[in-house]
Amino acid sequence: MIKLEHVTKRYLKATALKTIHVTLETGKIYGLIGSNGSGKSTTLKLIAGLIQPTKGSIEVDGIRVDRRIAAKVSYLSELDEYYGFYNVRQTIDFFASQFSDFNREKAETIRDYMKLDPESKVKHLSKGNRGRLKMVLTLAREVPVILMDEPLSGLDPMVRDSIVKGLISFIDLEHQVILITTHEIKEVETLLDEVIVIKNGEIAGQCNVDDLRYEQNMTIVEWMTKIYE
Amino acid sequence: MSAWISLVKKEFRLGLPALLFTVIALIFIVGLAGYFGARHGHGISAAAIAALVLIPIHIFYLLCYMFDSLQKERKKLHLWLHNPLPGYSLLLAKLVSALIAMSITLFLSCVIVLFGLKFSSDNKEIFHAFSWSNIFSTGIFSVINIYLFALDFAIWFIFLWVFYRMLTRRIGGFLSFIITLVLFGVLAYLDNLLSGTRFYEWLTHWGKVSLVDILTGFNFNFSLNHGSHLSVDNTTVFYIGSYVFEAIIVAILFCITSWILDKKIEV
Repeated sequence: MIKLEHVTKRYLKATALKTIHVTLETGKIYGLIGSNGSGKSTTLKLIAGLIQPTKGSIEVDGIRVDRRIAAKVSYLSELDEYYGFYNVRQTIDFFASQFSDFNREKAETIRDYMKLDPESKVKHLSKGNRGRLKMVLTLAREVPVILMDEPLSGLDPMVRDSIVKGLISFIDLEHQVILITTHEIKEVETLLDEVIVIKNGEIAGQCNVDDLRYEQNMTIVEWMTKIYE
Repeated sequence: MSAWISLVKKEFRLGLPALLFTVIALIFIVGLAGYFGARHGHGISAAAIAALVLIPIHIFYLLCYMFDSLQKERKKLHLWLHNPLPGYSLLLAKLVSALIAMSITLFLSCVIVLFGLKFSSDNKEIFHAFSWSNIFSTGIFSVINIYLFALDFAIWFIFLWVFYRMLTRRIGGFLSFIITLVLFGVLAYLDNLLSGTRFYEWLTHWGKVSLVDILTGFNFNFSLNHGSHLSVDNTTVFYIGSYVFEAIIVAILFCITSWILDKKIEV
């Protein structure tokens, strides 16, 4: 479980998040959506312990977050940077050595599913294949929290499709909570249990996707557009 | 432990281009000195002297290596820091890989110098004054001090780098750089101020060792061609206390650096 209590994050001049208060429960896939610069990536970095809140507190499974929460959190960055001197297999091996919860067998299954050549040098991978590699490294960990920052950004429809299908196949919803930020809302709409709209650093709305669909007869995009108007 | 060893391997791989560059530069400089020396009939001596000059420069090796490694990591901070290992483990992995790289080039330099001493026909009048045991005791003493200085510089550098990174996301790059520079100046000034006090003397001036005790049997009063003298007498001393004092300072700095890395660095 992830708990953010009255979290504010200020950068130099801008306030990225304003008194965010939210709880994310195990067994659900959350979508964090909003316009560019609304505070989505900041939220994920805060939960991953890669930045610190200016005010408020963040807990993962009852533990106050700092950098070493990496033991419980698998974080997929929006950045494509990896160690270019490794090939795909060596990158997987390196991650397996660093995280005791890394399931190497699962990694191989996902790599195989994503059709990634284990001998390809990471620096020579296409953007699509780097996106696939990120998924392999993130989903192969058996951790309570998975954070994915724009996993579909800049990828072609085929790669996006394989990533979304991979997500469905390789997450363990009984024991994990997944938080995804994305602009490709239509692609992930069927995946999400709950959606949180963030606007100018504040939570502008949170609702169950099924309720939205069946009770309010709206898609996520329509709901988000309504909030932003 | 295996996670940390894998990290050291990764760090070594990350620093490999820098190591290769240093080895090539070393061979190039020694080769060049040897080539020009050989034109005047002193090839081996010239190469050995070039290598001898390069040995003390190694006190900056770890600092340069850490600068290169941390700069390469700058764009991958989300990768480097998203790791359950404590900050001191991450930093020690970099330092150990840097020490391995430094040892390789230092070893090469020493071997070239020893080769020169053994096979050079020049300066017999100088070299006959030294026995091999003198040369080794001097060499070991110098190499230990080079390692200690290199570690000292490297840890000061990491501390300042981490301090700069801590500020940079909060107050911007330019202001952070200025404040880090000011901090460095203030610390250097305080260190200078402290080292001239009686308190510092009381803290560090124990465990007196004369250099002559270490460099036993040396005949330092040989004459060079132009009559200059190189001498080490009983007044040339150092204190174990000053080494211990510096080690404590560096250990404290390393702990602060690790804490900042764990709690305050932002990606």
